[in-house]
Amino acid sequence: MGILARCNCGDDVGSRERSLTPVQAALRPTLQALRSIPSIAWIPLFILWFGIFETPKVLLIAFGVFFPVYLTLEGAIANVDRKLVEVGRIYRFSTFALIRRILLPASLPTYIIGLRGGLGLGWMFVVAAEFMGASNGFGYLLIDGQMTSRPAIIIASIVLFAVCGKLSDLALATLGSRLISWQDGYSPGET
Amino acid sequence: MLTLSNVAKTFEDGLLALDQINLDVSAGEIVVVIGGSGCGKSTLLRVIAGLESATHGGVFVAGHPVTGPGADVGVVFQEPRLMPWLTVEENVRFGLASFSSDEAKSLANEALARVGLSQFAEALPRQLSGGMAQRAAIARALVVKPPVLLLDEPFSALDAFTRLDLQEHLLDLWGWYRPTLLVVTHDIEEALTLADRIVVMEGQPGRIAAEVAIDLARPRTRGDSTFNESRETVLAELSDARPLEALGTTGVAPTR
Repeated sequence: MGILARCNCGDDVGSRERSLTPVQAALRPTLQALRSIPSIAWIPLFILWFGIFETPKVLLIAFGVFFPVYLTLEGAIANVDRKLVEVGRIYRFSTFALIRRILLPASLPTYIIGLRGGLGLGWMFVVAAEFMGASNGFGYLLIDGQMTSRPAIIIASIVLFAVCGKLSDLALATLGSRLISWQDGYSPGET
Repeated sequence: MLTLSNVAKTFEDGLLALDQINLDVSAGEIVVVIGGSGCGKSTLLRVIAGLESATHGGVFVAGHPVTGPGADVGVVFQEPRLMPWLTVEENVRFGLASFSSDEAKSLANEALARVGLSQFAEALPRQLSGGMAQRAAIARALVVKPPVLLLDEPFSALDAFTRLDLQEHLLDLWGWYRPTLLVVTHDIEEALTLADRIVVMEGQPGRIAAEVAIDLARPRTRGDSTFNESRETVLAELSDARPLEALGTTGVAPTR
């Protein structure tokens, strides 16, 4: 079971890596049109093109997770304080330097929230992907439990989803809070 | 050192923000631009800094026309504008990309020592008081010793004590290498404390209404008779200046 979980996590990480490059994509409005396609609609095409093994699943998860994360990052960048960007102009930063030294660090707190949302969504697509035909994995267990009338298996898979989801989110949240420890925001518990 | 010849600025919405601005600032001079809010004094400073381009006329720093932000002009804004994710020292080094890291470090340390923030080099901006943050911003602007330093209402967000303190401090820093200072303010006392020359602006469109030379030895004592005389002169010029038209009818440019 642990191995299965790790396999799913791997899919998830694959999607995460793909979703980390939306900066270049920020210039392409055609993405907005692609975004409005429900990710699950790609399943038949992916199966035709890539077979029924791991590739279409990874692709589906990547597609599903990419757009919400991309949208969050785009919004985060649009919300960066113009006054800080102006400091970059004073120092004659190139566009690349502006992105690397001001826009990305300034949008990081929101971006991490987007990534956490994406991670949760990633687990959803894990199930969707494994519904389309898998011989192992949580999604398979859910279907298998249904087919063989064993609700215990279904519930066990659901509980495992909760555990894996919580653990992966905790890891990301911990990493995130280290990266943005400079933030001077409200944190619950402080009065 | 700094020459503005017949500068005019029209915003995209057609608002004439600056008109017929002629100004000559010699090297090491401290010029304070004063005027009511919305009279275009901040716009003037942004044009000199190269953040906005003049629609007419030219701005020259040491004889070279200003076409955009340049290394010879430092800018301090009303807000410190420190990067919240960088330490104070990293903020001061922020614009030093063309220096080696050792050079940048020693330049930053010198600037921090000048503004009295050496022991806060490793602090994050959120740990600084308003006055300290503004001092860090001044250190960031001065770190490369630009011959011209522009300050846009640098102390207006600070409390009265800190403001007085930082005005003295700015004069000390000016004594470091005598840059040309152009300070925008709406505080007459501040103008009188700092300036060799006060430029009174009127709006709108923003024009220079009068120039008053302040020929007082520093440090200046507020409230002594010559100080008060100068204040009367500046106040008279300010009230002579064409009053602002009612806000809203002219579409005052957003504060930048």
